[in-house]
Amino acid sequence: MWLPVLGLFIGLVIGWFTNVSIPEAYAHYLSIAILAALDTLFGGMRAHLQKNYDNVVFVSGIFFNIILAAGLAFLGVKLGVDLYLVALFAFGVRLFNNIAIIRRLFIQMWRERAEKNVHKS
Amino acid sequence: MLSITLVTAFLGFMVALQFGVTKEDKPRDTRDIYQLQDDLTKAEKKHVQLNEQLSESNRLLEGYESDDTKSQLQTMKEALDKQKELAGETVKAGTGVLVTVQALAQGYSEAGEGLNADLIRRLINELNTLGATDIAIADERLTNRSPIRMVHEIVYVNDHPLPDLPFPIRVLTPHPSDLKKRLEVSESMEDFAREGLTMMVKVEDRLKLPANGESEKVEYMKPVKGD
Repeated sequence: MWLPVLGLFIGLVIGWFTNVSIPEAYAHYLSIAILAALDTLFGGMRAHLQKNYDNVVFVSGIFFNIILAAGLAFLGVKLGVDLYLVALFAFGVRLFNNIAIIRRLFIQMWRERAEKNVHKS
Repeated sequence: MLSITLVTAFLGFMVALQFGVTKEDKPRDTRDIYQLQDDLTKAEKKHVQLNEQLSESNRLLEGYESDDTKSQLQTMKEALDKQKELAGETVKAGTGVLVTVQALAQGYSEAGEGLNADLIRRLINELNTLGATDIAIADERLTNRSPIRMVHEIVYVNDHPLPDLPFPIRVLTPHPSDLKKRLEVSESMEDFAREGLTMMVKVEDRLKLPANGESEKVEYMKPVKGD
């Protein structure tokens, strides 16, 4: 459980201290990539809780989503339409969905545990 | 679990980069060694100058704080004279250059129609950067508050119109020949030429600048009440 948090922390530290800077023009792509990663992460968490987690799906999903979103944003820039909003919308909706499902699953787990405790006592 | 960890690490890395995007806005220091040395020299000069000012102020303070009324009065008088000199209310003489503004050639801007306030202002800025200590334009002594403006196509300095061409600009400086050389190749020279005017620059050993006759109107200053 703590390993992903540690990973996040290590990533933050590496990003902070390597002093790599992204030009402001590419900030859009980066934010979409972050959103894609978040989406995949929560999707993975949901799948894990629903016990249908697949490592290949998860890892391929994150890179595929990032590339797709960045490609869409790039196409948008070339066409002069803010196509990155499409990715933003899709990821945003899915993020909320996944988090809602995760919340429900947690609540369900908590209720089941409480019921068990009642039965024990 | 390992893949999730890798993904979160990746996510953290990207988030850190995202923070870096807005952080990188401050300009980079691209000065080379000579520019740094130059800046250092400037800072040292400023340091010396500030120290001089400090000791001067301390000397004044000592004078004020002495018990002797006579020396207090003397100090006050000195301070007042100093302020008057700074405000350009005294006649000042010394080495300097005499700049005569005239038409570039016959038929060019002889009535001085090319002359405008911006031109004069730019010239004054340039003179100040070239090391001028005091400037008088056609007997109008310039202070920090001297207005230079156009009224009906005529340039007014200190609320007095400039005379017809040619008129003199007297500039006091400790290094007149340097200032002369620099002024002759300055931007102002080209600006003046563009307007059909030119400046004759002459080094003078003894140049006298008139006092600024107008007394300053002080509107927003009040004496501090002592405790």
